[in-house]
Amino acid sequence: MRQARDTFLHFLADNLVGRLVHPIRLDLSDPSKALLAMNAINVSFEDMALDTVSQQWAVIDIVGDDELSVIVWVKEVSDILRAAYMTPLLDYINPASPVSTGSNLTWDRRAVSFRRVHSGQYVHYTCSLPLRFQST
Amino acid sequence: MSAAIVNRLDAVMRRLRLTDRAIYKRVHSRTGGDPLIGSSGTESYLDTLLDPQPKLSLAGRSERVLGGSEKVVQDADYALLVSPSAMTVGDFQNKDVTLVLKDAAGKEEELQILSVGSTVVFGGVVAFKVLAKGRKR
Repeated sequence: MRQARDTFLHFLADNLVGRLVHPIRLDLSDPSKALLAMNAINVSFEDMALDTVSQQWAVIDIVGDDELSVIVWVKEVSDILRAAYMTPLLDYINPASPVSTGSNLTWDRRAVSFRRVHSGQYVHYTCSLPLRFQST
Repeated sequence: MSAAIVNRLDAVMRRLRLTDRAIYKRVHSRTGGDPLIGSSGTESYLDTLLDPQPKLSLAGRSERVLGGSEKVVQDADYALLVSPSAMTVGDFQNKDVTLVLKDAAGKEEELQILSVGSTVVFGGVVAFKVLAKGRKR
């Protein structure tokens, strides 16, 4: 499960050059980690189902203060998720040298769809995407 | 003018020693980790004895702070009065900086800073009021 999260985060961060990918996770020593970051591609992980083929829901929230910039980022994220429907599942126990696990992390390209979340304070688009992978 | 006030306060704090344990500023650093996936790599820290030593008092349940999400209330364990000679605004804003109490036997208690307020006189900060919570391990 950790491998799926790490792999997806790196897939986005390594392919979105010049864009801030902000992982959202709870860390009581730094409460800001659990908040949406402005002008960033925020990624959080929700429900999970463990089985021979496991599923982990990823939520991508693209938030910014300029609408025209945000829609550019939405297209960039959509393009890389639609260009391929899988990426090798890697083990990042040593982040400098990720190791292949021999399986892939996959998603449905047709599920890549962004919904507008209306706010008067910022521009916000969100996409929920089920990730699937073979559990070891 | 505010610098003169700070110097007077520093002298008083050094003379009265308003803490029962030595208070250090701890700066955490990490190497080889990956913040994107939450891998911390190798962690280390450097402790610096604060001078002058802050005024330390128990806060108990009389001091409550809204957590970072503004949905959680945390009870502060300690209230400290810190001289700007000992710590700067940048130190308080740095998430890698914590406070550590050490007793004569070497036992440590690391504090997470919950909130910081400042007292300004003649346009300069003369003291920081800090609410902190012990990080239980």
